[in-house]
Order: sequence, then C-alpha cells, then structure tokens
Amino acid sequence: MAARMLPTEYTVLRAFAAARWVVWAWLVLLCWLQRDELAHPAGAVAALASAAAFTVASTALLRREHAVLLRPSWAVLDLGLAFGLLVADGVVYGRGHAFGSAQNLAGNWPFLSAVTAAVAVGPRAGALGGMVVALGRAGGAWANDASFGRSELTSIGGTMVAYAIAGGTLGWMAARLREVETVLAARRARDEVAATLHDGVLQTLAVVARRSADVLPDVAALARRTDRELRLWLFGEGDVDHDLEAALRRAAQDVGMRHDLQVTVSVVGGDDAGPPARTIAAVSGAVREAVTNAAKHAAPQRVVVFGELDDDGALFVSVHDDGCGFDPSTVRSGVGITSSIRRRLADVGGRVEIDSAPGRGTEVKLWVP
Amino acid sequence: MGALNDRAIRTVLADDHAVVRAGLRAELGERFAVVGEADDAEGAIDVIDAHRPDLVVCDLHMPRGGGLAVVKACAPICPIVILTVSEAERDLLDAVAGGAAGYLLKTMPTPELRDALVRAAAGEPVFSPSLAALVLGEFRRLAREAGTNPLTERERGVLQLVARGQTYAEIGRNLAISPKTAENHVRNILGKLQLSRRADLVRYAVEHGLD
Repeated sequence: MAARMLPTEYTVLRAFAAARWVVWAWLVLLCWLQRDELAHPAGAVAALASAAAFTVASTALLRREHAVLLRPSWAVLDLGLAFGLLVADGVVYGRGHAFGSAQNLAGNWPFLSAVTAAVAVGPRAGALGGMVVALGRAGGAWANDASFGRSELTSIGGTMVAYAIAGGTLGWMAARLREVETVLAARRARDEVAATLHDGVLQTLAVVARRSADVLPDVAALARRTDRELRLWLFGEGDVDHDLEAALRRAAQDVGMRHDLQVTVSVVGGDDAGPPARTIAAVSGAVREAVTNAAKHAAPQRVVVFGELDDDGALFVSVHDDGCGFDPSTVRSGVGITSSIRRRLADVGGRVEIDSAPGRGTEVKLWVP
Repeated sequence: MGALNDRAIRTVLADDHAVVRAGLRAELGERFAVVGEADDAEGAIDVIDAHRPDLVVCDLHMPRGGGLAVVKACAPICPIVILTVSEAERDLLDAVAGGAAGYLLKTMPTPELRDALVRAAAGEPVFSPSLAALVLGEFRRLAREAGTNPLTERERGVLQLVARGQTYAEIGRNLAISPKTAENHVRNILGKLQLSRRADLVRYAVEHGLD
C-alpha cells in the first residue's frame, strides 16, 4: 500500500472519479427509462442520491484529502455502496426484474468500485472486493423474490469471475506502474543529487585526497575510497553481464577498492553488439585476477585497463601496471594466477601474453578472436 | 625545456571552486609560481592576456564559457591543461581538439600531477590513457563515417600504447623509435584531431545551412 500518492496514481483515481459521474448519470437515465417497472420509486431515488453523495465526496476528497481515497476503509465503503445498489435493484423494481432483460439499477457502478479498490489497495483486495460485490446480485435477486436455478447461479458466478478478473488485473497493473514510477522518481532525484555532488563534493574529495597524501595517508585513502563509492553510486555501473566496459569497470572497482589502488578503465569500439556474455565473464574475471596480482606483488602507483573491440568482433584487453615488474624467464611468481587467467581465456578460445621486466612494470595482454 | 629549467613556471589557475585553487596552489610547490587566478572563463581569459603565463591549469566546468572558451581564446598564447573530476565527458574531446595541451584528473597523486604539469609547460602533450582511448574512439567514429582513417598505422599504434598506459619512453622502446618521435606522433595525432573536428564542424554547418 502506498504511503503517498504518485502522480500516475492520482491521474488514474481522477479518471475513475470522472467515470463515476458518467456512470451515475447513466444510472439516472436508466431509472428514468425503466420508471414504469419501479415498485418503489422513492427507494430508487434514495439509492441514486446516496450514489451521488458518494461521487461528490470522492471528487471533493480527490481535490483536498486524496490520501483518504487510498485507505482500505474508503474502499470498503465504496464496495459496500456498490453491494447496496445491487441489493436495492431487487427492492425498488417489481417482481420478476432480477435475471430479466431489463438493466440493473447499479449498472456499471460495482465494476467501477472493484477496479477503484484494486488501484487504491492492491490487486488481491481488488479481486476479492470484486467477487464479494458481485454477490450483491444474489442479494438483489433474493430481495426480488427470484428463484435460483442453475442458470441464475451461473449468471452470478460469471459476474463474480468478471469482477474478480477486472480487479485483479487492474490492481496488478497499478502496482507495477507504482513500482516503475517509484524507480523513476528515485532515479530523477539521484540525477539531481549527482549534478550537485559532481561539482562540489567530488572536487573537495580530490583536494583532500591529494593534500593529505603525504602527511595523513589514511585520510587520503579514506577520501579516495569515498570518492570511488560516490562515483559508483552516482554513475551506476551498467549491465555487467552484457556490457564489456561495465564489466571491466566493476572488476577494476572491486580490486581497486580492496587494495586502495587507482585503476583507470577505458574501452574503445563495440558500438554495435558487444561480445557474448561468457566472453565478457571470462575476460573480466581474468582482468580481476591480473589487477589483483599487480596490487599484491608489483606495488604499482596505478593500473591501466584498456579494452578494444574490433568491428569484426575481435577483442583485445590490456592490464598494465607501473610496478616493479619481474623477469618472466626466471621468476615463476604468480604462476597460479597466471595459469588461471590462461584457463579462463582458453575457455572462450582466447590467448594470453605477459610482458614484464624488472623495474618496468607488467602488461597482461588478452585476445579473444 | 630550456629557459623553464631556470625559473619557476609562471602559472595561472582557473577554477570556480576556491578550495580547489587553494589546494592546487599549495601542492604545486616552488617549481611553479602562481601569477594569477580566475573563477570563471572570462576572468581566466583576461588574466592570461594580462600575464602571458607559461602554463594555465583550467577546470572544464566553469561559469561564463567553461574551460572550452579559455582553450579557444588562449591556446595559441600558452599551454592549457584541463583539470577535471570526470573522464567520461565529451566536452573533454572538444577541449583537446580546440587546442588544449591535455587533460588531467583531479584524483591524480601530487607528484604525478606536478610532473605532468612541468612537461605540459615544456610543450609536451600530456595525454592520460583514458584521453588516448577517447581520441582513439573518436578516430574510429570518423573512420567509419568517412570510410578512411585519417591516422597512419603507426599513429594508431602509438595512440593505442598511450591508451594502454605506456610512457613515451616505453612506447619508444616497444616500437624501436625515440621517445621524442613517439611524442611527435602524439602531437600529429592531436593536429589531425583538430583538423577533423574542424572539418566535421564545417560539414555540419554546410549541411545545416549555417555560416
């Protein structure tokens, strides 16, 4: 149940309030057309008057206190009135009216009540409300001294099913709409916040991180960490399963955060369809290990991750650090990690090459054809 | 670097955040002498005109025109380095195509920042890996539209190595050329970027009937 009313919700309830007036006018017209069949005209007038009072009240509430319209108690009142109108049908019209060919006093009113309740309270309440309200037809028929045979019961059952379906589906749609709108509203708010933070807080964090680097390293680390977290929150990370750049950024972000390491990521190309999801998973997993390896063993200032997608779908990724490097011919350091990178690439038909020399940093190069 | 080795680098700082200017001034150290500051684009252009500095460090987003306006007005006078908090911006490419000496991230560690600014003052294009990637992507786009890539194979190779985080010395070693030659390739690439962006603008103007 929504605590506050969202714009589309308001629009829908306003449309229902307008529809309510149309239905009410139709009820009045029907009564007038079928006035010869009325056994209790005063009862009909009273029923229509209470429907009019309810319509006036909903319209007024929509303008002033629209939160009331979303309360379950209001929905119960609404459905109760609809039930009452269906029962009144059997009272105000002469005997033989129920299940006859003439129009029901309540017209489309119960249907409208069921869908309004569904939008205000929820799909289950809408479906249940619709079903219960439809039972009002049985009450009306009973008041009309009708006899209940198989076709009469089927007719009432049909109405119950129809109202329940209408309430259920419309309530479900309204709930989905509400979800979408909540997400949209959150995103809009975040964009506004992002614009402000981007120009203020990120600037300040950068200054703090740099100026405290020598004297207060832990403060600098904190500022850098906050900067990264803020960026992640502000700019999101995209679809890491299908977007190579998002996947590489996520991998770099995770490792960089854990080891307080600056990792820059850029990807060129891939404007059309990117590589398949399993290639992205393999490559980003390999990049994650390569960056971790650099952070653990090379003591780098920074790591650069670069990806390039050719128009024919071939992929090249490089992980380059400016750390201490090693002699690949003698040192067998990181063999475990290297072999795991190789395995990942082999799984998608790719290959790995590692360039390093003492004092010159390390570059891990990945190709997937 | 010549004359710059003997005296402090006369620098102008342009940023609309006073805290950023104060921070920069403090960390630049004695290698630099801040001769002027500005908090918007028009102010920066005035200060640069008045002081004719060796180097301008300029924010991308500022009131009254931003870094782009400063670059357009003052790139012929002295090297302008764009300092920004985010690398994912298209105006960055416009600034570089407009003649900026390069751009640096505000999150860069101080020693690296100082070093890059000294090199920029000496006329070296300071290209971060992500900027190189951005330029690489731009040329790919141009190539797809025009059918031919304005970059030579060697230039493309150099640009890719910069994007992979290699220094000019490393690139020189990799391609068996001198670091100076690698740097010159980057300078040529920048020139081509400026030309093609200008051609782009002209084509756009012709197609849309503007003058």
